[in-house]
Amino acid sequence: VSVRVGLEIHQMLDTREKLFCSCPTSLRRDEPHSRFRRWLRLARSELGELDPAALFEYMKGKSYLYESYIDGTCLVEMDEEPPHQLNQEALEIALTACMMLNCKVVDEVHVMRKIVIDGSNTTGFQRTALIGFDGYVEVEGKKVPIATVCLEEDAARKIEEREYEVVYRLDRLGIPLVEIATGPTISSPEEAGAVALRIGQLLRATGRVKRGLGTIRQDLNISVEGGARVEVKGVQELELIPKVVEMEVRRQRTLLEIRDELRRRGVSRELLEVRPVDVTDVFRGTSSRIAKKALASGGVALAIKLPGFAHLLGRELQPNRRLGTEMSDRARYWADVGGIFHSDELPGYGIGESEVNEVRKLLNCGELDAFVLVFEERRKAERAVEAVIERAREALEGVPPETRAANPDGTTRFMRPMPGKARMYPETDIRPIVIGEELLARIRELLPEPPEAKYERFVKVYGLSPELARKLLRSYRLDLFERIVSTIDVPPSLVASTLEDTLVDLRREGVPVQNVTDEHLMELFELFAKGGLVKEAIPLVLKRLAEKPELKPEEAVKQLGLAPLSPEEAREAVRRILKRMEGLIKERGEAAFGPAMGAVMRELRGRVDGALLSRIVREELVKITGGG
Amino acid sequence: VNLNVYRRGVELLKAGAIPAEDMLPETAYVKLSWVLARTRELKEVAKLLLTNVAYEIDERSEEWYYPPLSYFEKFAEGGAQ
Repeated sequence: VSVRVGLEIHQMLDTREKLFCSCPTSLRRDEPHSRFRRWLRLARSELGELDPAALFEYMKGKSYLYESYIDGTCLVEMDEEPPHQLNQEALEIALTACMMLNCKVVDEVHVMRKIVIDGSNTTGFQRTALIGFDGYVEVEGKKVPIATVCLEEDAARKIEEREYEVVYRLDRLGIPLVEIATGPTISSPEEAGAVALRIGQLLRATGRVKRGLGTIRQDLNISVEGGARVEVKGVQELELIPKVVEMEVRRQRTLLEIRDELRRRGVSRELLEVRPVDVTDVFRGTSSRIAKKALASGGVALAIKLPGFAHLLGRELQPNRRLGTEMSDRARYWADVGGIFHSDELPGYGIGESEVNEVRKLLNCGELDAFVLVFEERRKAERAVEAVIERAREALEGVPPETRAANPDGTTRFMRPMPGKARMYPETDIRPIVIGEELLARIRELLPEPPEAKYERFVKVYGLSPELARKLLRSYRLDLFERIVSTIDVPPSLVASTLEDTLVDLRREGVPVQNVTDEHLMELFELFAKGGLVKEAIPLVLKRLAEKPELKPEEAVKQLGLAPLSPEEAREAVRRILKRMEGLIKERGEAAFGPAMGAVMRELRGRVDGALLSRIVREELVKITGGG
Repeated sequence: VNLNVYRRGVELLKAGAIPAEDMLPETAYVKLSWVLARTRELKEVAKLLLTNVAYEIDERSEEWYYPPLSYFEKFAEGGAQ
């Protein structure tokens, strides 16, 4: 069975100002200065249509609480003031990305509004503009088409979701993003990972994108032959992409198998014209805690027969996720219920065999029929059952097209239905922007060095090992590396291995290396260049800096007693140490080098260059043994 | 101001109006007099008028510039600090 995957990559840009106002583009952790509340009101779109998903959100009657900062957000984020001109810096970065991805560039940029209904935009829409299209990126010899490159504003950050309100913070709203969509031609999980890595690398090569967790997000469009397009949102980690694709393919394939089995069993849409049955009486004396609690607070037990679904609800689609789980997700979304029970997992959860049999009897269930149970207040229970039947109907078609969210283990869960198609319309507050040949020429001239050229330069000019060069190219410390080696006179390989190996090793040991700042590292290498510490002291100093970030490298060196010894001092110290083990040395001769070096290292580690120390020890050893 | 939002604004732009950001009208008037005393070259006039000389233009309009009604009620009650 063939698989088709398309990627959508969202990368935050590191601009000075936001896309449509002059606020800073930084995310904040401090207490917000002010809060205000808004409600979503439903209106027909410019085309006179009502979005069904928008209607549903509106029905929930939630309100939105927005948190703002005096010096971080302004009236534009509050939607009290029209947008300003499109940020020129962001436009230029997007154009740069277009060129690196071999795209055609639009003559005029038209900003559009994309309806967003979850309150994450105060306006009720997200502004987006097509910048480039019809490009390609080369990955392992294959050309993967780039369908579009868009410039967008990021949404507000969800802080908390309560029953009647959602809390959003406005610091992220309006930060520029480029959104890059590939064509649906990726055909394997590994390829999906490789393409995402490649696009990420190209974007980072511009040196003008934000770094770190949450600054790049990947959405995946996945379909298997005979299935439907499923959009998986919010994969933050690159490493997870192949896994998500693999898991989603497995889910879709199993759904197709279930469809075939249902057809073999002769299940049809007509057969699924079923009505729920009130089975509350069966559970009057139940020992199920969930049932007891629901009934005690005035709820009912509703059961629905799913003809021909026996043993299919419990079939695993992904680890620990079954068709029953999908129904449960839907019931939760549409009816806001805690969950459902299906016959493939019963008896269980405190529901006994006699209760199961009684329900089967009331529903008139045959051997191949399954059922689903809901314990809830009547209105919610009815809605939940409806959602379950709808999902059962979709099982007859195979894979329902929908938007899903990625779980940390690579599995996916239902998020919402695919949004309606008519959700874009022109932004009337901003004039179209003409892209002049002059601007394009300037950007073409300043195009950044592509990753391959960087790799070549790292290996040939800096003498890095291919492995280290590759690690650096994937690293978010790439810029820092270039800054250090271009301004400080230190061996590039030492800088590279410190940034990529030493820090990683320390992190594995549980050292909080995230506390080590770029400034720490710059100063550390400056100190090294001045002879303020030896190579061997670097890991020890980094560890101390991670634990005490308020220190400067120079102070850390002093605290650790790692001020380097002059060659004379080193020789003096070596003599002193060897003197203590003179007996051993005389007895063993040259074979005493190992133990002697060990003893010396214990005392002088991190204070003398390793190669120099070894030479001194060897020379002093010869003096004692008398040569030969 | 963003004169692209309403049709009237667009017509004003076509007629050659210079949108004066968020300057107070009185300030803009005095500033224009000052600018016209230096140059009558239209392009230069627009450039000078929109140059931020003494913080008369603010690129960011913050929420507290527009305090809620309750803020003024405090003064009405005579309880101002």
